[in-house]
Amino acid sequence: MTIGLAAIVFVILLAILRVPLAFALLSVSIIGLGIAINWNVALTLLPLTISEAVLSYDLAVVPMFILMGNVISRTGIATDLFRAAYAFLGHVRGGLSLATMVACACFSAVCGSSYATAATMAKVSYPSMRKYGYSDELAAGTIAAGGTLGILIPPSIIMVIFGILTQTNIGDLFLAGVLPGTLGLLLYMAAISIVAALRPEHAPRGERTGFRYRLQTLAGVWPFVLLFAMIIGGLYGKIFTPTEAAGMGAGLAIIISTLQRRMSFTLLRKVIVETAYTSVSLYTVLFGALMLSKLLTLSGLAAGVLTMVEGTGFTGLPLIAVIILVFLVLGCVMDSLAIILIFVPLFTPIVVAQGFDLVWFGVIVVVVTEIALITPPVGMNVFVLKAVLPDVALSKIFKGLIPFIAADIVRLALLVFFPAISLFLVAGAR
Amino acid sequence: MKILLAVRNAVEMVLVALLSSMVALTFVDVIGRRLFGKPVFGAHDITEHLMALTVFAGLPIVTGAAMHLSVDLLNKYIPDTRYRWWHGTIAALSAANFFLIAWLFFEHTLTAMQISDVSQALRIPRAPVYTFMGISCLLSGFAVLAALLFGPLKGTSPASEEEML
Repeated sequence: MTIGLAAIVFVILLAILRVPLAFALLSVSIIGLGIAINWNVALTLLPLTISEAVLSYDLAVVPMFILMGNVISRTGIATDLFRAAYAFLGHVRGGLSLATMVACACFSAVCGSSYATAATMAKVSYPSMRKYGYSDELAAGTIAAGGTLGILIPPSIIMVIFGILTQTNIGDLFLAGVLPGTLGLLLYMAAISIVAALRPEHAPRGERTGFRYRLQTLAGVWPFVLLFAMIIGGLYGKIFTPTEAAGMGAGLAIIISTLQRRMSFTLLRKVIVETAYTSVSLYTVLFGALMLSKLLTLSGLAAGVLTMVEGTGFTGLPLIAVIILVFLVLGCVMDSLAIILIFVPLFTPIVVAQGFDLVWFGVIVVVVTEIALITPPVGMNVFVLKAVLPDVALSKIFKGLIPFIAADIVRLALLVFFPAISLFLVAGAR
Repeated sequence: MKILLAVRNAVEMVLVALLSSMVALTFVDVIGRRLFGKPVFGAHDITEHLMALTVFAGLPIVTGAAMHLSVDLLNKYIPDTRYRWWHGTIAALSAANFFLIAWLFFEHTLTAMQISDVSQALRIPRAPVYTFMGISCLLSGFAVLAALLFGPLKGTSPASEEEML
């Protein structure tokens, strides 16, 4: 147990000291297994773990969903989504922010990355918000918060990682993200409306558009509707496995973008190469995370923590609340992916032992990760936004995020107390 | 340098071919199965191998370009230009990982040959795949050291965590 604990501390330390995450995880896991069990086991497990992971059909979901997101984000779909949302919502107070939030949610449904969602929407919607006199706080806060929906509304790379680490069905996780993602959108929209009502100078009204124009703008969003319906419909109806849905999604995205004349061979080549490189980075980190997971189990840390927790007599939702609190505190000072890779394998046995559904826990972890992405001092989405909008002060972005963080806390509470929100669609599909 | 760029371009073309094939195969397999009741035999097997080839074909380039995922909290305090001894230690650690994995995969190859390890559907021998993984790790180990001595491979940008999120 001591070795497992020391391993976690060393991984965090090495990662913070700029050792690439994959090598921090691999080195510590190999040495830890060597000391805790024996070197023969450590050196046998290493190639077995890597070859099993890389030769896994289920894991092929990763590059294909990344490819779909990368292709579709270059087709200008974000602009089309924003235009359509603006046509319907722009005239109300805070309408541009509301339109941005809706566009973020829709973009998230075809892209599994929070970073890509925030960066893309910043380029698309921030100029309009500035033009209409929106405050920097509300504009940047909207985009940074809206971007976080990218990892909850499926497809989501973080959910795939959670599924791999906990051996939870990735299709179920995707389905479980739909309603909480929608709830997140509605609560964010409520937060915007409240800000707009309390401080109207932050969110002036935009132009009212005619009914015919509104219908015209809807024509631009069909690729989103098609892809989302195919992925979620396919998973819900058990027509596709997640990997098949990803392959179909990537294939359709390429076909749509080519038919729309928005994709050249040169651009496609660039997008595929980027996808391959991102996948390689992610796979190497996963190799390390899977090795660490084995160390935590074999060193007895996971079982030890479980026994310790059971000894305290802490059970049920209060225990989940403590785990969430740990994630939230860590999320303020540590990078989200590192937290998931290190702590999910540690907490999973506790959650299972308490009889909670791992799919539900996966949604909770992702929502907590979303909050970590926008809370100071290490709010990754805020830094992404700062890179795209260099003249907006960090303090303004964080200030603008306060109503959205409050909305996130409300959502987290609702999801914890009403697991059906996450599990309703999963139960329907089972 | 020109040779390195040519190699990188060639590897990238291979990556394009591998990933495109994977998408095309899945697309055809699903359409075939759902619409015509005729799936592509061994599609899962082929996809798994294409995935392994993609990851290990790209690994030396990703490593040489220092694109491995890292936590960038202290980038400001531990910049690339200072604390060379620490960056050297990181590179040595990374290279040691790669050389160890390469050696283990070469051993794994021998075991796979002895037990005639093959894939489930198409019975593709595993040994050549493991050899490829070993060679890739060996090259990646050298790539780490080359990146430390001569700087990361140009034309690609380092990855940080947010790209995954």
